[in-house]
Amino acid sequence: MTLNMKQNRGFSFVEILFAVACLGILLVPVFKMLGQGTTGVSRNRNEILAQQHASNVMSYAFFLPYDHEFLKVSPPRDVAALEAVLGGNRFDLGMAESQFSRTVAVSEVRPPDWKHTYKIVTVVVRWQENNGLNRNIKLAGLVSR
Amino acid sequence: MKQRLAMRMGLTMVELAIGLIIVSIIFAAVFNLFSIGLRGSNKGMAHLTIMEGAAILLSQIEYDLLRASSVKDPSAGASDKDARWEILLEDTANTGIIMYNLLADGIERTADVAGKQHKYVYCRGLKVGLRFQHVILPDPANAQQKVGMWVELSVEAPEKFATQEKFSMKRLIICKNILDPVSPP
Repeated sequence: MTLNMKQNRGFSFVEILFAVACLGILLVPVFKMLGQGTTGVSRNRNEILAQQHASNVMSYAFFLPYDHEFLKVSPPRDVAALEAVLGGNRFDLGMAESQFSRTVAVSEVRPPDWKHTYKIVTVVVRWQENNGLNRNIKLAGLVSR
Repeated sequence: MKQRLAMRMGLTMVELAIGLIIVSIIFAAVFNLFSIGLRGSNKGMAHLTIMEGAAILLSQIEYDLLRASSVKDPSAGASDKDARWEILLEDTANTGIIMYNLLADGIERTADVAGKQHKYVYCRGLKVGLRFQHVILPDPANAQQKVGMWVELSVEAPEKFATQEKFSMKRLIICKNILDPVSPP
């Protein structure tokens, strides 16, 4: 009689709790996988936008005359907001996304065995990913007379 | 004996009903979580598709503009979304013409080289918006004009993606091969 009662008693609370915990543990990697997809998309998007922000400043530098104010020799300076006036038209080269910051540095090189001088323009775009990771890309180019 | 039989008779209707209710509540919660995850995943997939489409198309436009020997704006009355420019070939006696034409679902690039047309549709199945603006900057020091193009590109996921995703890019591209630009009509 005692044996029969034991066989028919069903699940205890601890057993159910254990089963739910197992189910939860199994579901964690599934949700993590979905989350990783979203993070990957966000990272990819930020990289494309950063590349665009850096390339725009570099193209602008190539457009300008050698002695233009924008190309004065300087340590890295902030150019997050930038409006270009080219041929009477205004172009907004600013960055709409607040997580980006951008600097430009210009140095001049005078090789001793060469009569020409040239400038090295370095653009760095920095941003922070959603998970707090700090990232940056750097573009450098030469500007000559 | 009677008690033993009663204990072995199985589940009652009430027990079954309670069990079913509990199982359905758990299923509803799990399904809800899954559908949120799945919706996020679909949204991410749509965004990735339009983003990659835009990046590839803009790379092609940049490559074409870097090789361009002259740039012609669309003629008066033509769609402002059509652009056409000539590209420089190795044999400068022949020039190729590159044209971009917007379609309902994508953008067609036609390369007309030596009378042969090569067509390719970029961003197939996506809504594309493309605007070019000719940029000319006089460079008095070198008695030349620098020429470039301001390109505004937007790519949108179509309705069938069941999500409203849009990705826009703006690029200033300098045409390094153009020394004596063709004046806009």
